[in-house]
Amino acid sequence: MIVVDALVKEYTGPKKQVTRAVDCVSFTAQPGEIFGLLGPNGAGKTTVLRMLATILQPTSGTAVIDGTDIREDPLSVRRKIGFLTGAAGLYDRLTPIQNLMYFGRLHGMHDDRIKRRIDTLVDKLDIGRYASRTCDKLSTGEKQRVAIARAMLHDPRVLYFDEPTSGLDVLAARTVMNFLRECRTEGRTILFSSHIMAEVEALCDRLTVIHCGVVTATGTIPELRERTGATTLEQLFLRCIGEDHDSLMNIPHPKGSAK
Amino acid sequence: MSWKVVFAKEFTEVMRDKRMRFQIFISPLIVTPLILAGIGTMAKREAKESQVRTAIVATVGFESVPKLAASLEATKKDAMRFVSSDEFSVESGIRARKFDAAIVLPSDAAEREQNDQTIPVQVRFDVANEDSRVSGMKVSEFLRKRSENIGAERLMEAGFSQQLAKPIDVGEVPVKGNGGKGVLMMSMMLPYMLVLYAVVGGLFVANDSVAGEKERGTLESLLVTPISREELARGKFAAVAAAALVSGILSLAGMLWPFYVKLGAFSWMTEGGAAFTGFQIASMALVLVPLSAMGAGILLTISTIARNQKEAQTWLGPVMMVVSVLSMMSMMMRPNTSVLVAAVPMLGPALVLKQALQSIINPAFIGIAAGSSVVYAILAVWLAARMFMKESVLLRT
Repeated sequence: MIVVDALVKEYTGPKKQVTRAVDCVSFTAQPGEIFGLLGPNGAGKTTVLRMLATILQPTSGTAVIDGTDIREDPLSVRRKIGFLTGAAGLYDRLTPIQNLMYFGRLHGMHDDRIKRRIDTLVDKLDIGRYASRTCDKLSTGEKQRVAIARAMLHDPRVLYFDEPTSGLDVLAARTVMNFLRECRTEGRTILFSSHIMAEVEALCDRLTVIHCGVVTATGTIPELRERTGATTLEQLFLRCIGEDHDSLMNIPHPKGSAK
Repeated sequence: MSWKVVFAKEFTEVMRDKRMRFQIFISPLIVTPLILAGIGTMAKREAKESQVRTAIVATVGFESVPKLAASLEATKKDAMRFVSSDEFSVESGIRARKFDAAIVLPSDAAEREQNDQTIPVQVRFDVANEDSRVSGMKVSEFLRKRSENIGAERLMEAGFSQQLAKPIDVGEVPVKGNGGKGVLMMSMMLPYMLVLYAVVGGLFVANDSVAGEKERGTLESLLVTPISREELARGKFAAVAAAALVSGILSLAGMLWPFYVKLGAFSWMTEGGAAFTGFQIASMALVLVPLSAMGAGILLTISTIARNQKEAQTWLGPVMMVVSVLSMMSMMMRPNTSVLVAAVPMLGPALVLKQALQSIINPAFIGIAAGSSVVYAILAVWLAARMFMKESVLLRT
């Protein structure tokens, strides 16, 4: 379970000017649920995920990940989470197996356990064919499968997905989507950040819309539709972030004024 | 002890990268000695050619002393060719490389010859022109010998012993045991090379380990693992320092092996042999270790600050310049200079290396150089660790 409580992140610029990238973000994601973070580029989704992953320190506010506070015990939080982004983030000069061994050891796992987990994941994700090739020789889809294996290696109860399909072809994107659904079935808590409406609609049980670092709406998709009166998800999203100019275009212009 | 996991992975990657293998192992151990062999062989050949070539020597005033001129002409052999000239043309002729050197006799040379007086002879040459400089020295030596012979002949004619004109006969006997000319030459070049390799030997590893991770997007994956940033920084620092140290030690080995493998190409450097004691090698190691640590700290700081490898390389330009200038200064300085110089980063250790190669034992100098290098290393490592803790620096992309 993820409980986010009034998270704030501020950056101080070179001239001491303060920029608030995330402003008082709160939400709760339950086990067995895919919780979506929907927002345009630069909305603050990645910053929220980075704070929840303890890569960034919040300016104020906190979050509890599977019972552990991100401020009090960041290392324990990292033991409980898996993180996947669009960039596979693998070491090109190492093979998938060596990459997985490295990350397993960093998670403090014993070599025997790492090997057992690798065997399971290699089978499940069909990595065997290229497991001993160096990663620079793998396709984007193959790399993404290895990245999924890395995120799952230590069997985390909580998973963060930061635009995991960005830059992937249809097949690779489908692998990621299927993997997400499987994780939900297994009862894991999943935080899914995206700006792609179709993915959010297909996957998310609930979602929160973020714009300029602020939460503008939270709920299930039917709830948000009802609240905004939107017919499509795109319209819903635009209304949530106050950018639904199409509806303004339909308002008749005063007589004689230029359009 | 997660830093060991990071260290092991970094080194595995180093061993897989051709560029890094070349910089750490091949370049100091093989390429640098081969370059030195090439330079030495070429310099030796040039010097030999310069010695055997016939020098064109302009003569001024020879017509007034035909007897002396004939005697010089008869004994010069093929080493010189005399060309008659005048006082006003010789210098421009030397500058224009028409003549290599000139022998200029004074206007009263004939009168002095008749009265058995010393004739002041000028040998003119261009110091900026290697051929002219060598020819000038050759002509001076030739005239000095001729002068001695003429003096001896005159004494004999007067019924005196030739030895009257030569009360002392100087003989040079080089003392052996500290190595030959090659060791002296090495003591000029090796400190520079060693400092350079020890400081920048870890350059590619440092660039790859943080700036490279930012560039490839692997840093984020690393930062979500349950390893503290201190451990992460420690592992990366250990990898960079190890690469720098290995590179420094191999550059020392690269300079030493030609003395034990007798190859013709290294004869200019190895003739006279080498005599390296345990103390010399220990004092070199004593300064190389903190030097590598300091270099690793500086390189890692730059790599952490930079957004990508290209930016890191841009930052490294001025750093390389400072390291080169400081270590190059050791070439021009006397090895047993003031102990205060020992505290100058890079220069102090370079001078310790120079002292060691010239068999100079100065414990105070070694102590200050090693101690100050340790302090600089600690500062550099502290700075690197501090940068690693700053999220605004570490996550710059």
